[in-house]
Amino acid sequence: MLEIAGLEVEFRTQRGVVRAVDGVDLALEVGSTTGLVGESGSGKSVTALAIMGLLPEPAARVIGGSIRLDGVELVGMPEAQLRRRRGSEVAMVFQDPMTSLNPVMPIGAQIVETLRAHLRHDRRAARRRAVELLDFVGIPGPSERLASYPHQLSGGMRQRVMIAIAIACEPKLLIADEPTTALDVTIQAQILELLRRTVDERGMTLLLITHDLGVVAGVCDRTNVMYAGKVVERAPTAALFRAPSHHYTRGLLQSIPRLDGPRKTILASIEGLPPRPSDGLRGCPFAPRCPARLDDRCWDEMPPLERLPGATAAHLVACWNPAPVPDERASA
Amino acid sequence: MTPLLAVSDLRVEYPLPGPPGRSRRTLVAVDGVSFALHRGETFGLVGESGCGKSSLGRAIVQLIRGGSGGKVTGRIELDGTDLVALRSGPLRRERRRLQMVFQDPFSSLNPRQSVGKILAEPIKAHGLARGPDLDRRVVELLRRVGLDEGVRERYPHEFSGGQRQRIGLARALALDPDVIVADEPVSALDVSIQAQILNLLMTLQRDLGLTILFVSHDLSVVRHVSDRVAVMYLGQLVEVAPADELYARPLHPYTVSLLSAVPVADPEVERTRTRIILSGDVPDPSAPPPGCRFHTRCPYVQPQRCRDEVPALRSPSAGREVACHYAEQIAEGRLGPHMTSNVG
Repeated sequence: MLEIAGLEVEFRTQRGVVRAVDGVDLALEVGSTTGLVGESGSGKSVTALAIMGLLPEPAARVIGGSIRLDGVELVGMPEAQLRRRRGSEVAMVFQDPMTSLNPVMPIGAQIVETLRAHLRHDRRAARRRAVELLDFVGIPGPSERLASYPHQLSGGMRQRVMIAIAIACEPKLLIADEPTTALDVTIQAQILELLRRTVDERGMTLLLITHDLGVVAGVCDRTNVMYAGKVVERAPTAALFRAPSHHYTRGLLQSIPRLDGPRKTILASIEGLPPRPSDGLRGCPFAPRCPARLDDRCWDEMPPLERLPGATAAHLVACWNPAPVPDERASA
Repeated sequence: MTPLLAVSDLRVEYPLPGPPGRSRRTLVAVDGVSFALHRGETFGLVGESGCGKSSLGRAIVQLIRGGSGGKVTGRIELDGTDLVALRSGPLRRERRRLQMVFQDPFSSLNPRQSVGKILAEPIKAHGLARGPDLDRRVVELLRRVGLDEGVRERYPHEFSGGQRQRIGLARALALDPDVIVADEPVSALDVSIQAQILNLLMTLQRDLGLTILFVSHDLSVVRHVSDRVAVMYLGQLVEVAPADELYARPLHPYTVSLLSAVPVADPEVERTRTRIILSGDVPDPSAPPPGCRFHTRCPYVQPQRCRDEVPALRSPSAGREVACHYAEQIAEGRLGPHMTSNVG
């Protein structure tokens, strides 16, 4: 349903032009949950903003590639048309609901406004629907809550309201950008459960953007790992965690302490820092930090995102020297 | 063995802004907390935002001491000397032995001072070294935290988050402390950098014999670095145990729920585990529930006792402490949760 091909986004900053997204391909099937994982600056949020048509122009702009939603090209679409699609076809939930909720408007009015703008509900129908939505996202006493202002709600409740607004017009695609990063772990569990339920019960397609591999493991069917503006590995989530093949993915997985892992051991860490545009890298952006780089090729030539030898067709990796897939028959 | 640091019945309260003329309300951020740190151990303190863990850490390093910044009562004994009761002169000497590492080192580093100066200043002020000795000491500190001596001339803004945290650590070590309170030291860092700093902390502790109070909301990180762990909820400790045991066999329902809520980076585990989803939010800390403070969210809550009677932090077996009336029944499976959702 969503097809992104060769997406390139540039930011003009005081220090020069930065290629925040550098040739991203992504295809989402109807009803799937897809994770986009990466650290700060990897381009995962910028990709989401580009899909939404919400890039902060003129500082940022799409300079290449295409984003097609159900076959319709979104890149270059006039703002008025994009606005109609936002909400009704694709909606987004952000990390901090306070930045997207209107602080001086009761939450009920904000939901009603969305419904009336897109679905042309009359006032009574919109109000009734707003109560249903708040009830669905688990807000206790929904009809009384309509009059509450965002600041009167806790962080978790505000995120529920954001989800209610996002799904108000039954969009086909829901993009959630770090939806639980600002929340405590018990509240995070509630919101993730709500997202899973929303996707299941409403048949939505979910693109979940996060830095947290644990969140992806629990929510997504497929996972993409981003580094320096590129997707470096993509696989069904189970395969990715069982046999991570890009050395960045492997490094990430090994560097997080696990609740069921050994204690007090020295953690494998990825030495160094992500590249800066000024580094002028020609080859693989991970080469400077990679433990398995090949002397010439990795520095000179960007590896394409290709099927990993010996793995399922759905497991792709952009690496000249990927870690081999363990032989499953041998271990079984 | 006498503990290096013993905290007993510690209470930290802050005045809350209220309407003029009306009686002032107070927020009791830490309410009757007792525990001991043994020399050379890492003691983890976990809890969600607003539970009082940061206030507890700051009170221990004497960053909160009466006045408008909050009121501290109870005892904080360092090698038997109660810091809460000390006057400012003698306190200054003791304070050197307790240092803090913050989540955002940038906010605690003077942006106008070079790294060399940031590290040299406290050493000079305490008269620990001067002249060539001082220089040697600064270089030695930088080497310890994995930085090149050349960074002495540079300023905090020139560094990445991970490097700043190294500088923060070097500064905490400058006065040769016995105890380091690290408050969310890796929470602001990307995962790949987080591991570097955790490794550094573990190495420093081993090499220098440091005692560390590691405050964090991240249960996986705390488990990895800690020898013992305390779980805090609404200003009180609800459970204290050796790290292995706490995670393998949690006794307090809050610990059980917290652990089950942590996402594990393994889809197989995620698909099959039983998740307890707590209902509702953490109650307002300025008006905590009566009885057991967790009873409003507890999946195992019992009708009377939990609401009426405050559970004391008691020791059901050697090395373990828990504040729950029904810990044994829950652990033995005689009492089940009312709300569990089996995902998958």
